[in-house]
Amino acid sequence: MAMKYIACAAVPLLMAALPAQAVTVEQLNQQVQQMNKRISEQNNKLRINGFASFGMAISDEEMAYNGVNDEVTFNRFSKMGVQMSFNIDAKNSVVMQLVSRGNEGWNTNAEWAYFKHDFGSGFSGKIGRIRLPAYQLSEFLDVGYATPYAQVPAETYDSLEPFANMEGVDLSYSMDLGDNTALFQVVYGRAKDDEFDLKDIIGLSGVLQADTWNVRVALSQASVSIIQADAAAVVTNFYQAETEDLDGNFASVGFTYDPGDLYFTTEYTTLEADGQVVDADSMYATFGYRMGRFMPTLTYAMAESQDDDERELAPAQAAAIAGASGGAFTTADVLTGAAGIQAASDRNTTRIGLGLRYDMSPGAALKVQYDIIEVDDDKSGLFDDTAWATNVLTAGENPDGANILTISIDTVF
Amino acid sequence: MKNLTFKLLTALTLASCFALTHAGSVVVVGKGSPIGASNESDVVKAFLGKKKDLGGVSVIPLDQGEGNPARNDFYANVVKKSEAQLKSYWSRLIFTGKGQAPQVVGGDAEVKNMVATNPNIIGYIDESAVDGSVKVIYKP
Repeated sequence: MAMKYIACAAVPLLMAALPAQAVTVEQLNQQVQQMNKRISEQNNKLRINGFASFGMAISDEEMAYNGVNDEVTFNRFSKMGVQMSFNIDAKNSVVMQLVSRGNEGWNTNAEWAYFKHDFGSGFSGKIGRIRLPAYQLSEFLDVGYATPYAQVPAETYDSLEPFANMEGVDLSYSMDLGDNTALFQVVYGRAKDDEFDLKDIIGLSGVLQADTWNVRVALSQASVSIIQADAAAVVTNFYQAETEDLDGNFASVGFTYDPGDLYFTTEYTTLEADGQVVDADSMYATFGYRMGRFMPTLTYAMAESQDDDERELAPAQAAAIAGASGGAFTTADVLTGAAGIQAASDRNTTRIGLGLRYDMSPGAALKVQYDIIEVDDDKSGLFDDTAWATNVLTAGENPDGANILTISIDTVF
Repeated sequence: MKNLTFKLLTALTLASCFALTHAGSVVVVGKGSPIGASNESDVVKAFLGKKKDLGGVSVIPLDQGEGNPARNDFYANVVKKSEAQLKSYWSRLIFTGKGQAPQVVGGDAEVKNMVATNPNIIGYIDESAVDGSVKVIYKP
């Protein structure tokens, strides 16, 4: 009897439950449709991505090398960036990337700000503030997480660092070559900082991208003017050399092999410019091996200036300057001074870097890097050039190397 | 007796099928999608944003969240990239304005719901979750 009573009671309960369940299925369907709509909407609208590197660096040398001396710095390699991509429609988009850098007092700067149009058939164009595709790492130089380094090899990446960005136009083309992809890029524009004005920049780059490796070749040229007044005056008065519209050329060849556990990347660059602008060759190579979440790396990097003789002050010119000083300086004084200035711009430097990357979680990596820097022939490399020149002039002793420790946490989000 | 042998064979075959395919991811589309069977290279390219279409039909790849078994299996055994490598890969594309990683949904059931509502969406699910609502276009 009790059983029957329960059974009878269950019928209305079931009846009540059925429509409730039907509503739930309908709601689920609606939710799915809403999610689906949201996904296509998100594909078409605003996307926000960010990256950040927070780190510290210290050297055992009092004179700063690449901005690091024997007092710990938390700013030199720290930065944070936010990128907003707004897709107007399937063909048109606007991208802005804002980056705050520790070594610039955390001032925020627009690194990218451009309009992009997709022409179809693999062609696309950009106009606005874009990245000069000079180097292999140019386009993601700030995104520490995407590179194996706590600090990128400055021997290579210092040369054009002020000109990472330019204002101009970009035309890109990508095509399938069997299983590989070829990418070509042409840029035209202008870049300017406090010291130099680069006009009529033309940059070409070609990348062949396979599954496990890629090869990249890039050429850039520009008309270079020295606009920093003191530097321009020295070049004009002492060296009687031109300061405007000098031809400048830059080339980079890069190769990366990344099949899985093994990692290898290398790049060779050469910079040539007329007159007193330093010409330099550089290269780096990095081997790495992934062991689960760890990747130890070994890096060799070097830079060497190529036009030291051409930038020397002619003895006749030194004598003329000494004469004009009314006896305040002898010819020897002037030559010593010129040698000091030149030694601070000549380069002959090598880096051996031991690195360890630890992927704490997908999106966050801890990196420790120990760099052994050596400078040959009293050619300053990336040491502080004012301190170096002062030492030459005052017969002080310049360092022949430095050991630098860099630790950073790199994230993308 | 003959009947029993047949039944045994069937059971064994089923069991071995199950053993072979258990805990493996397959790539699926909605059952009415025009996207057909695809090879591994094309599927990998579609999920890495290197290919925007499969057999001429544009595709919207869909990821499962980190930690889901189907995702772990798919990226480890088909794409052959670790989560950290994948993050590095996408950050290079995202921060150069070249692409965006696929949208992420919760799990097998959500992928099945999504592909059912849009013929361009492709996703991966554990093979044991395959049912009549989806069509398998790639099985490792």
